[in-house]
Amino acid sequence: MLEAVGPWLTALFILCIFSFTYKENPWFRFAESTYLGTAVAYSIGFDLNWLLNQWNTIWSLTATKILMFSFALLVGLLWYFRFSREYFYLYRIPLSIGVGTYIGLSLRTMVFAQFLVQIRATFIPLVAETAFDTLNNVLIFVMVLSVLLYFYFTMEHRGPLKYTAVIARYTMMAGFGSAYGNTVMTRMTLFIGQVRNLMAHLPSFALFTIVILGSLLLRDYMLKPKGTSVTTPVASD
Amino acid sequence: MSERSGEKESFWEKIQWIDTRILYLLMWVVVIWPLISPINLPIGIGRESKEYYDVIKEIPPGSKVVLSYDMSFSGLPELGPMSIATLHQLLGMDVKVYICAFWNQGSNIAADDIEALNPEVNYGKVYGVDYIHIGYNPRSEVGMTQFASDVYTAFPNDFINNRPLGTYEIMEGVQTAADFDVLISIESGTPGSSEWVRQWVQPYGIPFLVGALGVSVPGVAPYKNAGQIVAFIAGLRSAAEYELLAGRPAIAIAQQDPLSTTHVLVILFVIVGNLGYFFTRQERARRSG
Repeated sequence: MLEAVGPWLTALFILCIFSFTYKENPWFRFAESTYLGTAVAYSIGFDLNWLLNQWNTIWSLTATKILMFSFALLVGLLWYFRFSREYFYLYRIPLSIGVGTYIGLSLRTMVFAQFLVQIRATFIPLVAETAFDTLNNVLIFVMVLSVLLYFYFTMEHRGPLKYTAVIARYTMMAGFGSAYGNTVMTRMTLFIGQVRNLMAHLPSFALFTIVILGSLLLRDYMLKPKGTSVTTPVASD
Repeated sequence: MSERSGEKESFWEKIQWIDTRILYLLMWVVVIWPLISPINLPIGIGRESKEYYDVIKEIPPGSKVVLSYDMSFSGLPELGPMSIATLHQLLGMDVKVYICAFWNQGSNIAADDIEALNPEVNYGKVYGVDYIHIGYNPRSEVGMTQFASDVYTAFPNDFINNRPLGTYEIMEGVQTAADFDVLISIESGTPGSSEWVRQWVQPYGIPFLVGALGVSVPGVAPYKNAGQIVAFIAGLRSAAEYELLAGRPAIAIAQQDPLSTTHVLVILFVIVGNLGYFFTRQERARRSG
């Protein structure tokens, strides 16, 4: 019985969310609020379970560990002073610890992983084994230099810099185009995936489409001012 | 627009202000049509998918492989086929698989993949001996650092049985990142490849493979170019190619036809939109000049 409810709920919520493409409506708001509530509860549940495992397996074993764990919990509780006007400053203690730890750990290897190694990757031979690789390497060399010069604001883009600025603009446009293409693929895949889900459960798909779309059309009809036709919202210019 | 200024709108102006609901409806049509009646467009194997498959295939026997499910349910249509095909290929080899997650939904997706593949029956693998789901760590990049320095504090208990990790045979001789041979991350975003590169690849030099969303390609590609990522696949197209290579044709292949038809439609939208913009501008110039 419960296994049968799952696909019906999936179909209902997919269609509730998709109903936004018609217009903002109560079906969409219902699904959105339900999702937010369940997602937050899910995350809290998982995190608490992890914490409980930490306590049971590691931190409850010796008195020193219990003290350390209790101290960490107390510092963690200071987050809630975010909601107090009087003791607001206390919430900055766990915030500072978190930010400091995160930045410290990231910076430890960031200079190498995301700066030096990336620069080194552009030190490539201009003449490679194949013509295609040669073209590729020349393009990397020219485009990287051009884009770096584009963001060199000390000098105006005149003389030779005018030409590199043009190359840089085209380079970035190509990059944005590629990013857009990949974004389209991802979004379409998400849509196709949900449509496949719906198609796999045709009765619920058909029923909820009729119910949701029917109710939205009926609402539009009921709210229509007498003597006028239903108008569609047009994007403003 | 001209209609609001009292003039009649031209065809090209109307095209620019077409009701988005019509576009959405067209999108439904081009997705449902090939799902009902598949076109079976050919699928060629790309260089990246072949490389990803080959790198996994060449992992030496007895190696310890970390497979991290750094993804959410929303990424499933693209990443689901990759993750299950990767797990399928790994379970078919003589390697130890350590499944983990730094996204809370990823741990459930991993458990679903394990259940779907049924390693005990289909691959002759034993849980806790040949593979293990070590669970979820909520601490993002800090958790990855913790995982690298001490597996047991990052993941105290396994996900399936909720037993301390140290009680499993597969964990013998495993303490830090240096004890693993390969890292694979199937990822939706952050934490993902950047964090793994910073905390695992750079300090420990572990070979790193990535399965990513199509939208993540511009972010992941520089790491591949710099050699920090050994191989990566991205998007549903690569997932379909990899499914073919891994010998497990499934969902990604079934979705290739609608993926192509929707792209054709988007290209048409872009062309029509640009024509509308171009001709409207010409008409306005003609009117004012």
